[in-house]
Amino acid sequence: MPDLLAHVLLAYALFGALSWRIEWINAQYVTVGMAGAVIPDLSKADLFIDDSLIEQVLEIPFDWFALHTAGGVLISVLIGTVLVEHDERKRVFGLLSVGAATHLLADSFLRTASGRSFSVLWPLSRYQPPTPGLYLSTEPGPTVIALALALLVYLISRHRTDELATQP
Amino acid sequence: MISTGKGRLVIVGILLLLLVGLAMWYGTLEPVPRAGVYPGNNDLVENFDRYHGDLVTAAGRVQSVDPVVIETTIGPRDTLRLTIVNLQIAVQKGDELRVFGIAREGSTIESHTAFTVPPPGLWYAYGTSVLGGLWVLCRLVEHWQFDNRHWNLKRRSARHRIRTRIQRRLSQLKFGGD
Repeated sequence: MPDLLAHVLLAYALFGALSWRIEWINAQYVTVGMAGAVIPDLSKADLFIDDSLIEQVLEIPFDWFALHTAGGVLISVLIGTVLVEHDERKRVFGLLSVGAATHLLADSFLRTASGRSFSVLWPLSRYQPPTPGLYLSTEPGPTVIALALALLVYLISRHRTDELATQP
Repeated sequence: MISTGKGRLVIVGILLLLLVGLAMWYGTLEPVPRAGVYPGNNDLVENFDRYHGDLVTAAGRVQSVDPVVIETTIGPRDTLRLTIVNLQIAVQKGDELRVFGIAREGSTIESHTAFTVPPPGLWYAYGTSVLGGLWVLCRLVEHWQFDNRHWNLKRRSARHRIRTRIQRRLSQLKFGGD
């Protein structure tokens, strides 16, 4: 999708809604899902250390965008999974993966000049699927929609918590 | 092995090396037009002439409008000025233009499709992205804690409110560390 805020709002809404059905998803696990939605944007490190600067200084080919593909995301998710305790790993792996997948999916709808998105499945495939070009990453529209969804989920969750608290 | 601090560090180190390897591999990839991967800014800056007659994509800041010239910068040094012809949209100097078309002689692109990104849009994207990143970071600190001894992250037993912590620290400063 658009900017990182929209991605994490969308993840908040998704995992918040899932917590209504899946009992173990509490606020702590919603946070893990949101962290997963941040993972593909680690490729934005190129704003601070440009690919070509690394290539020129270290004399190696380099492209941060690898982190914005299925392969890069999988390794990043594994790093996050290794960092938690053994009995948390399955849950954390799942949450980080789904969070990151929502990011990649939303980004595959971004408008591009060529009408093609990006190599989502790399290194399995270089294929860049056509994009419907729904939005630009610089437009506030998607963030507003994601904010409305997140707010709705927040209010419903709070209402459910209040209801449970008042039950005898 | 992954349950000890040392083992965890080794695995994370290996995964980080894999990630660097993946980024290096991605850096060697050539365009594959039949898969929808067209030559882009990096390829054009390296050798524009190689792609004469091919479909290419380019993005850059509009330098002049008659003719339309964009400048694209790769890294700290490499820049390329491209003339865009057959443009179907109106552009202004300073616009960020994204274009898809055929590479022609004389660093020219014959546009098929193009659109502009309004300049404030980039600052909006950066600003909101920082906000999103900070939100997740704050939630992580509130809900999870880092165990120095075992080098791992654990769920907190009680929510660690950053706001409360800041208020407590401010009050300590105010009353001389009381």
